[in-house]
Amino acid sequence: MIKKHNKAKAHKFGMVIDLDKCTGCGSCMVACMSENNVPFKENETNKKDSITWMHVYRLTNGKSFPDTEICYIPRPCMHCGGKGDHGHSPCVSVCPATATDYDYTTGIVSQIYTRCFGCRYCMAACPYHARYFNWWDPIWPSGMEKTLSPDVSPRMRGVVEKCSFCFHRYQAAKDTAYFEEREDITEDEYQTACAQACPANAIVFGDLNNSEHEVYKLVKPDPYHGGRPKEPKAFRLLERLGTNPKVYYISEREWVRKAGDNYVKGKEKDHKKHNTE
Amino acid sequence: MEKIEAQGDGDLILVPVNKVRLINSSFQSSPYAVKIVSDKVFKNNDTFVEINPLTAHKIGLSQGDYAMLKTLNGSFKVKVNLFEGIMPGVIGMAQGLGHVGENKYNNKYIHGKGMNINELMSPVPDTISGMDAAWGIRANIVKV
Repeated sequence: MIKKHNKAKAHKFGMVIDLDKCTGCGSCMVACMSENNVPFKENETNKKDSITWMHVYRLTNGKSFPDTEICYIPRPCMHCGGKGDHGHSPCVSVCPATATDYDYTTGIVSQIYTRCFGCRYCMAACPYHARYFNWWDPIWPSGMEKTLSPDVSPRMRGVVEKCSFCFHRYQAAKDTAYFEEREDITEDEYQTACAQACPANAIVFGDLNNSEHEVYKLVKPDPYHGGRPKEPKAFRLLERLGTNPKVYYISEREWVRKAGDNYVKGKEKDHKKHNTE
Repeated sequence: MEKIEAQGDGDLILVPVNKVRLINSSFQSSPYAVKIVSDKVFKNNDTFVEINPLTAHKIGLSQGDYAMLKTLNGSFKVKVNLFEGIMPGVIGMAQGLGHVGENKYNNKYIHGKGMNINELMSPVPDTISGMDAAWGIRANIVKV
């Protein structure tokens, strides 16, 4: 547990996404893009250069009709803490410019656009494909400049960007708490745009270090086992890579939980091992 | 009670599929919504149709193949997307694309993209309500 100098406990902001509630509507994607001034082009069908900080993927269970089932998986940046939350996220570990850094007081992996020079090493390192590159300058249709969020800087071409867990909202909440002479912010004062927009309440956001917060109660992260969820229905993507991501998923369906990691054919029973440790 | 059948002749039935991210009527989807539509619905100038792999195999179609979709109202060149979740014998096509004509709202993000499935459909008047019933139409699809 890391203590800040004023003896307050450090936050570890994270997310829990209930995959049985997610309908794949894409509201989280749209809310994120409009909150964070993400640009759009005329033709966005080449998904390799389409920037969506929050991206909803679709999975199927591989069975044929009528037993086909699908599952939608929203994937923001995982804000990996690395082993023991020491800040060795894959992207942070490779950035040559320290344009991305791990913040121990919030658990958020930052992206400083002015430092980034666009080598894209972080994009290669990220196992979740959560990082996006600005191949072009953003062009806003005339009149749309009025709808841009003033709290988020737009990025120029040549710079990598990614989900920031709406850090500007954290700053705004901290400012409010300061003016009201309060030590810390409450759970509903800092919520990400995607969590706010989700019509199914599938996305829950909060402080994983705070046992009163909904995210903690849903998954019960185990600090002695790399942050793995104690809740058996919860899982994290690519758990065995050891990235220690902050985004947890919950599903009643076994095939969905198994799809969260890659298994060598024939070794699928490895999936049960880490959840019952 | 009169039963309304799918019109035309063809081995398969073409049905419109309402994608949650595309407005399926004359209203135009906004840029952020169009951006998040899958590239297996439309890509560049190609519109996809969903077919069950079993049906596609019988016709000799594979993922990504170009094909000619024909109903009694016309034919479109489409691209094939295999999806296990659609019933064998049914072809699904997204509704809400193919906004053509005058670009009144200057919305280049959706205007002119894809094909309008309504051009292939043939509504039949329902004798009880007097409204048009348009759900499926018989269609054929062949590889180009």
